[in-house]
Amino acid sequence: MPKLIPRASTLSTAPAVAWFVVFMVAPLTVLFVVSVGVRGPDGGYAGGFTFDNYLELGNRLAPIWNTLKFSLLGTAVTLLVAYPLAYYIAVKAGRRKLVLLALVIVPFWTSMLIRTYAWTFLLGSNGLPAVLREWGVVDDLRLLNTPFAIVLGIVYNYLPLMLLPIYVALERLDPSLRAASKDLGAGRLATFRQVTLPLSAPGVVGGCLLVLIPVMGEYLIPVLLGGGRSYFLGNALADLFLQSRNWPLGAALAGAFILLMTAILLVGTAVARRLSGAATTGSPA
Amino acid sequence: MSAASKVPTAMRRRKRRDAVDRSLAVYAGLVYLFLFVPIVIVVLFSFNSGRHVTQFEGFSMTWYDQAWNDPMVLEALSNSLQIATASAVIATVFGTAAALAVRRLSPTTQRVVAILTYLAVVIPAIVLGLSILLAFVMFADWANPWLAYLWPGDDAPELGLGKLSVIAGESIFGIALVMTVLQARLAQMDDSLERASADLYATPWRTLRQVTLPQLGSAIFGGFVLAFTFAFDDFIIAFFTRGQSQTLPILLFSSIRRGVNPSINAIATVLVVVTVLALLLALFFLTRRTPGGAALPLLDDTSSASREDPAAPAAGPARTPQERTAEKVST
Amino acid sequence: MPPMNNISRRDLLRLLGYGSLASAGVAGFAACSPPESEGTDSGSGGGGGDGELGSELTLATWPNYDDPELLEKFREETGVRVNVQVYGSTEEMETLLRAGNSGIDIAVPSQYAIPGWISSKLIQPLDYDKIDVDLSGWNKAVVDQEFDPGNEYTIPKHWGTTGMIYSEELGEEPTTWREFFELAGSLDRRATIVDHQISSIGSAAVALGLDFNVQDPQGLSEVADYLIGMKSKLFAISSDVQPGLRNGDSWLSIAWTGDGVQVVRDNPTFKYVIASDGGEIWSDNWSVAADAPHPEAAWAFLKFIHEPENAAANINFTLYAHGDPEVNELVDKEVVDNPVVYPDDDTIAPLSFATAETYNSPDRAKTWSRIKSS
Repeated sequence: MPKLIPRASTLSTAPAVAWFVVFMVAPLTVLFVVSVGVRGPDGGYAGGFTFDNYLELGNRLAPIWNTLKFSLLGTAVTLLVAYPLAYYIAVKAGRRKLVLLALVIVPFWTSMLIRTYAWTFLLGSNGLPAVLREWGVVDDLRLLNTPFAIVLGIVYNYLPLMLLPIYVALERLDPSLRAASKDLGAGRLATFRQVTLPLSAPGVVGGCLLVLIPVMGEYLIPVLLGGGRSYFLGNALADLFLQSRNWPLGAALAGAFILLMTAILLVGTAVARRLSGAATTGSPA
Repeated sequence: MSAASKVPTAMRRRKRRDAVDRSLAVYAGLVYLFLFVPIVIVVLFSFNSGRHVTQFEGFSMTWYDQAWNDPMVLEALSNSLQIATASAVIATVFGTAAALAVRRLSPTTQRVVAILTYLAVVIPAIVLGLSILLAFVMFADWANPWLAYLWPGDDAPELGLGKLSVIAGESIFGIALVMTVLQARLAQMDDSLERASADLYATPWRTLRQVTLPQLGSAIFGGFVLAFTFAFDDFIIAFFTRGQSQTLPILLFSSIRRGVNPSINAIATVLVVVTVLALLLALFFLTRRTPGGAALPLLDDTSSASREDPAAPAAGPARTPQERTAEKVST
Repeated sequence: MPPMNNISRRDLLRLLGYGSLASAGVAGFAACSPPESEGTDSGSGGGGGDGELGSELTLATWPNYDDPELLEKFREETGVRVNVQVYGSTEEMETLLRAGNSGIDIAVPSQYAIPGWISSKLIQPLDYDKIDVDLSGWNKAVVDQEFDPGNEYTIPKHWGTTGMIYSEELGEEPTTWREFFELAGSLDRRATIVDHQISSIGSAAVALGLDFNVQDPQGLSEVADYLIGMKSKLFAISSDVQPGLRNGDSWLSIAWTGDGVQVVRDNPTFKYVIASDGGEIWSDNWSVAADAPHPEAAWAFLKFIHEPENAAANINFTLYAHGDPEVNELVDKEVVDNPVVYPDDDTIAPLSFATAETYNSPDRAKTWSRIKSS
């Protein structure tokens, strides 16, 4: 296709680029300008040029650490939950594949707010804990507003994003590879470890990035399922803009957030490259 | 290994395999339970006659009635639909136009476009939302006096936050989404058809219309649906940029905060039913139009670019060596 | 005419860096801003000819703050449709008003935001001739307060308190903030404090014997240590207090009147108590945006909503206390007799209004984020 359409048609990229510039690049520039300003006496923003806001961030590392901790943990658990399911759908489900995939996606397409809110009832003491008490499993189980609830919320909301790339990687895996491995006498576990797992690694990394990035900006899950006791970057930003109305400090925190995100992505991409390289050279062929 | 000892080992293996397969199936069932229980709860309690959200007191349609007669709910729903439609249309038109041409830009320009797309995907929604808030406020503040001054009549239009700023925010991610989905599809596409078309003296425009676009149809549709869903369900960008336009997620959020009203369950149930119907329809339509399940754009590989997809740049190149391996091995 | 020759109030405010982004940050732009004609200055409420009500009115308020039937009645009487926008906090409304061109006609801020709104010219003086309200007989606890002397800009819509709700499961009956926080710190994740620095820092300050409006660094750091020390013992820091209480997860909670009324109404085993050692009284107030697109409709609405019969109907719907005794005559007896809604004068005597300084204090904001992020 490339050479067939005249060069003038490259102009058709213009609207998208213009849109990006006007509604993304320009606002981010404004964000930077605001981040070197000062807070107005009634809140908001007053002009200025100072890096104090960035220095102040040093005193506000807690939400950053907290966010990193929970996002990494949440992503890891999501991976553990998603991988076997992706494997089952891709390798074992046969003709039901599409239906099973659609079933993973359906909940994802209904209001996240409502689904997450439903969990507050399921995890509250009249929900799951009450059922378990009735069965005599546990006496006083507290689930709502715990780190467990936050991780559960992450897994629940981001499972499809983790599952799809892994599924794709596993789906593309040629069954003859596994057959070959078995013909060569490798056991089931060995085949999984030496063939399936390495070849699906790029999907795993892709899925992890897909989950990690939006989770880091999460606002609703810590509010609804964490009871506001765990403070994420998203909550810190919302508070700085909507409660304390310290826009310059909020802007500086947002700037730091973007940097952090970029760093994580660079590392993630590098890992993905190495893994896919390893997958190529390490394959039994 | 002798032939004699091989038989029982194989049998043992098969037995163990059955056990593993069964437990995998059970596991899958549990995960689906996990995914659907909250939705079942919401649907169930939308029919609850009582106010209590934790005890089911009897069947009633009260909350549907109440939600349906609440002008605020209807207005929020209509706003959300308008915003999602506009964002998805912008995303699809701009995204498709850009994706088709981007590979023929100079390498430097291509890089710029790639960086912009990448940025649009990785930037946290909350950061984008508040940046747009700041930018709109600043710009409006500067532009409005001018507008008022230059406007011929008394009723000069005033810029401010509102549906437009929400659409601007939602469509940023949408454009990136459509571009990623389409570029992935274009990369897989065989260009022999297009060459043939050109050899037959079709104009480039005609080739585009009659050859390229039909092949991309399902991917474009998939991109549109994803962009629409994202914009419809998004809370955080709209939270910062909405101005006085209420969207459905924001209305639900503020209702949740100020005491519990089961009519939110009714609204949610309607949304669930509509989404599931739409999805089934899309599934039916797409699987019929193109042979083979992989034609379903929402479920095939391009949908790793669903929602907040940073992996496209990361996983994109990562996948190719693996494909190569697979090809190498199978030949 | 060059801007410097004739500095309008608005320009002055800009130069002083007051509030919004209208300020010095845009100084670069300001140099090339168009000359301002007299008529476009804010405060006079542009748009719409005199006497013309138009067909629409935008009301920025809180969820469930007005009876929809009353709004319908207003539409029938005047032809003006009230477009209701709900917000979860005064801060959100303020962000929008400061953004400018919000389209808002009437806003309902809590009292602590009002001085800043007045000084930033976000709202305009009320036209008492048109709204026809006489505040002289109103409850002195809520009119003519420091935040708007003489009620030049605002009229209290209703007022309420920040108290505590507890369930019988608690087994105790706290009556002071000191007792509340002692219990909160001794239970295992049963107490909720609201996610609002004014109410939560203020109530904890009262428990420590400090002023509700405490702003000095030493007092604030005392409050911070106190709350951080018990944070792991709390059930939630969330303004969404009702679900936890109703589900039995939370046994006691800081709560505003509205939550108190609703929870106690649905489940009489709960109690809503106003602390005897101090705490917060608040009011939410009618105000008209300086750049209201439909000022005439706004005046007409305020006139309508203050007719005793209408005001009483709204109180019966929202279950908050009105400041006009004439209105209270018409309010349902069970509402007026409900001590949660209408506490007696002695009960509210020790309470204080949060001040604008408390609302705007960077130190309080910082203290709150320290507590939340600890």
